[in-house]
Amino acid sequence: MITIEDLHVIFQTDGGKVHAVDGISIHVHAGEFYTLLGPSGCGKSTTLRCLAGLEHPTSGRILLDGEVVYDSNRGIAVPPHQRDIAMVFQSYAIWPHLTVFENVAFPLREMRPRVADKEIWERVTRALELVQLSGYEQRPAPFLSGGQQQRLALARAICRESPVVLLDEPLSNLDAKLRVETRLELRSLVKRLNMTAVYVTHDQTEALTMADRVAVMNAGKVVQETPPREIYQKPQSRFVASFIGQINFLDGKITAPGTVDTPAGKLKFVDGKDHTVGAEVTVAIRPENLRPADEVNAKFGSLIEGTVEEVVFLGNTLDCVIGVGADKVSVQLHPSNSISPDDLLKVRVRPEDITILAE
Amino acid sequence: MSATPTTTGFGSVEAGSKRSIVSQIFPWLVLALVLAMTITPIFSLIAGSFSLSRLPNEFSLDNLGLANYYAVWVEQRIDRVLWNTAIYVIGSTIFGIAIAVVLAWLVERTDMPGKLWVYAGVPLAIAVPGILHSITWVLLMSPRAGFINHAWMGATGTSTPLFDIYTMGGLIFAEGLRLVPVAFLMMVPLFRSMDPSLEEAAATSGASPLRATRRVTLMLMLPGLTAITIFQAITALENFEIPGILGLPVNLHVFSTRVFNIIDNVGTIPAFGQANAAAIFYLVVALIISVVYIRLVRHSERYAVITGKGYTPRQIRLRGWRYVALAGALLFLFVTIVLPFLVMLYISLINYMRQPSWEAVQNFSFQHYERVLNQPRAQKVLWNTIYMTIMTATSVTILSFIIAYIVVRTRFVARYFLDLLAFLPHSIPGIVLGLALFWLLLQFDILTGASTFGSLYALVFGFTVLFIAYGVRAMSTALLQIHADLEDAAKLSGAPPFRVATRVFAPLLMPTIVGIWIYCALLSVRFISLPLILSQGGDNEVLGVMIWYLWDNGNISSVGAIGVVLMLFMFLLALVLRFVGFGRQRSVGAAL
Repeated sequence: MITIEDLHVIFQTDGGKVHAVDGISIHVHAGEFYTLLGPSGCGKSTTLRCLAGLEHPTSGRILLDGEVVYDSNRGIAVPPHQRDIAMVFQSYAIWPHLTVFENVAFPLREMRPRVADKEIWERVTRALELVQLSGYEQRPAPFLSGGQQQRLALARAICRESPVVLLDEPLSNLDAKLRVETRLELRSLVKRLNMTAVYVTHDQTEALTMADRVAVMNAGKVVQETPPREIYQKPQSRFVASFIGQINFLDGKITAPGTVDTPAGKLKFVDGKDHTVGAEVTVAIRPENLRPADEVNAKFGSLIEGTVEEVVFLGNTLDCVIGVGADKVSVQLHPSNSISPDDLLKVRVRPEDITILAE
Repeated sequence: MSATPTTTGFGSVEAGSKRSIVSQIFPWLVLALVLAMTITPIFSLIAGSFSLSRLPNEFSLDNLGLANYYAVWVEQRIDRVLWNTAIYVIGSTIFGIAIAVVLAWLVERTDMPGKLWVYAGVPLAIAVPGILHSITWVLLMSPRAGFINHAWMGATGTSTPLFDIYTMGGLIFAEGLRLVPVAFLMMVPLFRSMDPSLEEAAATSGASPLRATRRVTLMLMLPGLTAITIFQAITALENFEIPGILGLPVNLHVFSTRVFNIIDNVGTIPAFGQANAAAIFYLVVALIISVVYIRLVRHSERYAVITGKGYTPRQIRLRGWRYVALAGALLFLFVTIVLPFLVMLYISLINYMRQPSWEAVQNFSFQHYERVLNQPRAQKVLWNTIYMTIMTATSVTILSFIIAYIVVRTRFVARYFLDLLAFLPHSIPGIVLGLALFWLLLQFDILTGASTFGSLYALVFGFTVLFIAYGVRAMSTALLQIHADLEDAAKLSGAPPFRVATRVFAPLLMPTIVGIWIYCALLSVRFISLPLILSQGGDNEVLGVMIWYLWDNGNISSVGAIGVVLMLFMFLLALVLRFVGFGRQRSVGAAL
């Protein structure tokens, strides 16, 4: 549905050239919910704006639904108003001089050949129903609350029935509670309408909960592209591992196949990859995968023990930091555990919960 | 181009790339246009200053030299004009700024009653044309026949007049008053945006209220105040209407009148080359002050977005002085608005020039209105003025939107240069641009066979150049406050550029568009320096020029009749500006 090939965007700024997008290639399938995740300044929004035609790439090729909309070699650049794309902006971009109805009707009124008034009325009404804004038609758009404006922006995006919708951090201006509710609503709506969605966010929770596939970006490049679960469980680089969720890094050295030597002791791992014995690696372990050693888990996994240095009660978890040699390791325990500083804590980690990173 | 034209769901590929080429070339075309509008007149001015031919249309590359500069500098002592100009500019700026500061302080930071009158009245003062102000002062304060002097001499029996308006003091008084309205409008936001917590912090640090005002408020306002002062100095330097009526008759010359005098002196042959040389000195002085101004405001003005913080500054209690303050403010409004109108009305109704008296009032008649307005010349001039005003205001508004859009919203490589280029004409005095266009259009007509010289379009072109700096700045400020997403959302909704302009920008920018349009209309009626030089008889004579010549010929009653009609029309425009344009009236000042 969407193909981006070797996209480069170079900005000329006062401080010199900035390579905002550095050779990105992406393929999004029809009906897929695809997320670009990364810290601010990683080039995710620029990539999205190139798709929309709002930004001029320096080089590369972009195809929408099999049609070339941008090709630097052939000098093709279809302007945004000729691309059949809907977009939801971070600022919502609700036109303050129009009513709710006219905001949604705007794309329909720009269609050529003209759409009949009756059909416009029907389609706008349906779109407003879908986002639960019925009854607000004649209200001036600035008189809506933040959450309503967000839904209005969504209604405007869906009413033109484009096959593709681009979403640029659409939830970041909502308060925390509303954001959680809207996340799933938004995803199910896009899925119900069978649209292909490209979603840009810096929020890992949004990426993990909404996306079919996540591309993590850093410094203008896609560093890893997989389904959400894998991004979390099988990060391929230190950047991805630390950007999503909490994680412990330990320096290690492969001493035998399936065994790595770390300051916390020898640890067993399985990751189905070949590692050269003697290689220097980084061992990554999620805090929640370190569980208190007991009879049940004694059979498998490696033991790590250390002195508790800090305990923080977070309600649903008990976060502690234990000192292992010169290193510190974070452990996430169930709040029923009673632990206090200076206690000796023994935890175990399963071989499949250990990630070996080459860096 | 190897792509085959295909019509697809995403539009024609061919059309897409063609548009892309257009959108790449368009900014360069605009740049070329602005370059042509600003640089070519200056270039022809410089070339003309070296021309030794008697007339501009005899310009030839074989007859060039430095004789004009020698004549201006050594024989005519331009340094004396420079000295006069310095006293005039500094004097009137100090006088005008002082009044404006007091007025702005009174309405923003004290509990003076009747503030609304001041807010409503001051913009009206902008609408009074400078030439009518000067004529009013002459009628009131000319040494012998001035109404005030005459009454004074009659009452006291002395033969020494109370005032003499034909002096440097008179120039400073008249121009100083003219600077107040715009200075006031620029200062109001400055006073308003002052966060009172800063003063409170000083107070809790142990500073007395007076010290807090001096150490904190004044110091914080100093950069803004300096910028406004320099801006007003440029305005004074460029003004022609005041020194032209009050200084020129007694050979009290400043730059603007000197340049005009060289080509329009009864009894001598116009020396165009010398006028150009003098104009070059004038332009250099104006440019130097403008550069100082640009450096001063470069970082502050543009990105000083109005904060939405709704604090009310602490108001100082004037107690018994409240009504004294109000009386002072109303006196200013009376002197700059009501008095000129009354004087014009008076001279328009009397049959012959006489001192105001009950007898004069009894003989009032409207015959001058009938006579003047029934003249074919007056009708032609009226129509010329309206047509020129509409064309100027419209072209400035459209061009400023295009330039501001390129500067603010695109990544066009030369956008900062374009911005600077559009600001440049701000420092070209009207008389200098008039002279430059005089040369340019003559040469242009000789080369192309067109007849732009002496046409109304020469005025429209000249005024557009003069006002574009103002238009671009006001428009950029407004555009910066419209989120870019609003435009992008319209594009993605399938709206082509023209539809985005009409459906999103036009409604959102409407207050600014109306504001710029009316303000430019006001200015183009007010300005007489540029049309005075470019005026070539009936075809492009406008009201300001007509008043100038009527006054020159001593046709005072006609001046009065036209003056009254003109003032009523200008007040109407100013009222529309206040109620429709700019949303908040303070943006007029903020945009300047």
